[in-house]
Amino acid sequence: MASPNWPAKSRIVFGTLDVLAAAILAIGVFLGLPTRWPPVDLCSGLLVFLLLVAGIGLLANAAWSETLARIASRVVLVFGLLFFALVASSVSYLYGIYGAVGRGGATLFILVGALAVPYLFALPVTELLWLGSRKVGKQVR
Amino acid sequence: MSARALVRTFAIYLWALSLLCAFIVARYSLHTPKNPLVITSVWQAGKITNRAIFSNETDSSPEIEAALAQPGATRVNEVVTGISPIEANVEALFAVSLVSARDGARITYAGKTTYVTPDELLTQRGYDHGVESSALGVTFGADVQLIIALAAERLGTRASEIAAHATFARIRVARKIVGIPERSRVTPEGLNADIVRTAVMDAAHYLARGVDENGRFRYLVNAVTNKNLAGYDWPRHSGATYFLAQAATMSKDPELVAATLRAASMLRDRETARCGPNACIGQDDVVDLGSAALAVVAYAQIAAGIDPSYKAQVEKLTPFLRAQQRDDGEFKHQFDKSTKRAIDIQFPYYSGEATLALARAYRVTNDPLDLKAAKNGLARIVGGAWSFFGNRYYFGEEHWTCQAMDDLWDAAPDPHALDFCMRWQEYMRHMQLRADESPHDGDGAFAFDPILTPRLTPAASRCEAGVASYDAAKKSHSASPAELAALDMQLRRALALIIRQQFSPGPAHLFADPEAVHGAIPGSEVDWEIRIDYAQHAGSAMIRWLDVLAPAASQSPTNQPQNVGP
Repeated sequence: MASPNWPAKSRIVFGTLDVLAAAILAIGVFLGLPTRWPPVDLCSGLLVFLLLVAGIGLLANAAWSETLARIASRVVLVFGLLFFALVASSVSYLYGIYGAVGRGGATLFILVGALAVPYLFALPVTELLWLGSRKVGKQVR
Repeated sequence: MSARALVRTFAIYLWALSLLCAFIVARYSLHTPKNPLVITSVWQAGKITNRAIFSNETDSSPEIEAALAQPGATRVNEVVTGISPIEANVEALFAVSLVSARDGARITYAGKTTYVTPDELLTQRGYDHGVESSALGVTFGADVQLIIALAAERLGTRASEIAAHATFARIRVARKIVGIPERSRVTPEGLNADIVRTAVMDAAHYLARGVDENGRFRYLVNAVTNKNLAGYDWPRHSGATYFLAQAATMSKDPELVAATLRAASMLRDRETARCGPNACIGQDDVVDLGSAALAVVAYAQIAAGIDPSYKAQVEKLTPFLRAQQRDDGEFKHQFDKSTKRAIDIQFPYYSGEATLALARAYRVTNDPLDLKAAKNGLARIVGGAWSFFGNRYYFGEEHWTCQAMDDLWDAAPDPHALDFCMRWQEYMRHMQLRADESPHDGDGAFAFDPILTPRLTPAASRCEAGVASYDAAKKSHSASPAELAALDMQLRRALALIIRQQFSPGPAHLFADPEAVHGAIPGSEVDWEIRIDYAQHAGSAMIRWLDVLAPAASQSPTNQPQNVGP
């Protein structure tokens, strides 16, 4: 059962965004990346599944949608932060080895990081803020 | 989750990530070794005959002295200036942990230590071949398996033992060749006509020595072993012939003239074929436009500067080039002899080559059909063929196109093409590395990243086009003095890089026959499989620079004579 504080429009907006993010992530990883690598494929598969089900749940106003949207946003955010940490540590490693990585190399890494910001950072953070703190026992239809 | 909780989480995250990054940078940056370390190797004909580890560069041992007593032996001190750990568990990580041509490895196993130095890796193609990315079509990083194999051999164990139980460190070395004074570094500011002319002649003589009695080049040569490698390509044969003709015209050197005529006669007598009603170049059933186009460029140069009888060869091939042109100016890049039909397919370079060929042909033939075809070809390349949203931010390889633009300037100036070429050069200028942007000798190179060693041929081919663009811009009075000065410095930086990397003589102690490869232009600082087009693009760029920019350079107050060398 969804929170009574949610306007119907925002629920539809976040549901749609979750489904879109799942689709973009699936296309980017499973069609865009040229080779298959289990760590990336499995993590991406999990995120796609969570975002897709959470999005469908919100659109359908399912009883479990709030719980799942909360879980999905947290998991996506954790993976997003992990991703940015990996990019940052890779840049640090290359900086240690190669010194100045050059404008080209720096731009490439910034672009890679920026590509993921809307889906792995901005969306889950906004959704978590929208969902707010869990209020146990106050949910009514 | 509340906003406050999120902010707190991110603050902790950023703090932890900053600490992690600082730790990684500190751990993997080079540290000065605790004790002085000099890896002394005695090289003879490209092979190590003895090695010892010393504390001082002047230290020696009876074994080293005995090895040095052999004819042609050279003592090389690789002074270790920095050490850092290597993450050897992941091969790709290991591979990118060594800076090409600068770093080697220290391997410790069962209490014993050995070193694999940059010189050894250079001679065994140990750089830029470690990791293959089929998606990007590139290989990069050090060859980890080679390092392990060399270490295993020296430490008397199996490679699998080294891979499993050895510890690895990165070593940065400074190479000092004993008894051979270090040459002055060629700088953009110090570049002058004498330096460039010497480099041109060295490159031309390298190619000329490789032209056999039938006129065939040594197409691909391993510089270390001086052995020929498989492969041949007729457009590149024509291109190399063109550069030889340019150098022979400039110098009147009999050896260059003879080699040019041998290489050209091979095209004329053995590779000229019928493509329907016209003559073309190539004995295969399907021939490409590029072979005939660059043959025309070479023939036109020979006709103008060496042997006027080659005008007939130009006139023989241009009908084929014109017949391959579509009504919109684009070219069909192949011809099928069996069906006697042109194949309307496009590959990189060929349209630019055909346009340049027709522009050059016009100078020899004065045939208005050649001029019209060249003009239409150029208009198509810079217009309809490159018309899409975003074309201001993305360019192809236009080195032939911009040379054609300059060649046509007097007879059929195309301001749109000049604008296109000047924008391309500006775009390239933004991609050009500065000295502090690359751990390699990268000042003047064009590259996206720090790991791949900068290639020299793109620098050379962009110079060919850059000098042409400069020439046309100056003639048209369309570019500002600041723009011309920026292009001038861009060209100087690229040419200085090429000349620094030219084997004149290069690290001769690593070559089996240094004289055989003297003057060659390598593919990069670490790619020593030398192909004929490397010298062609570099040499043609330098000759064009001598024609267009050297007269102005000789009046420059910054012009200081310098020695040529790496």
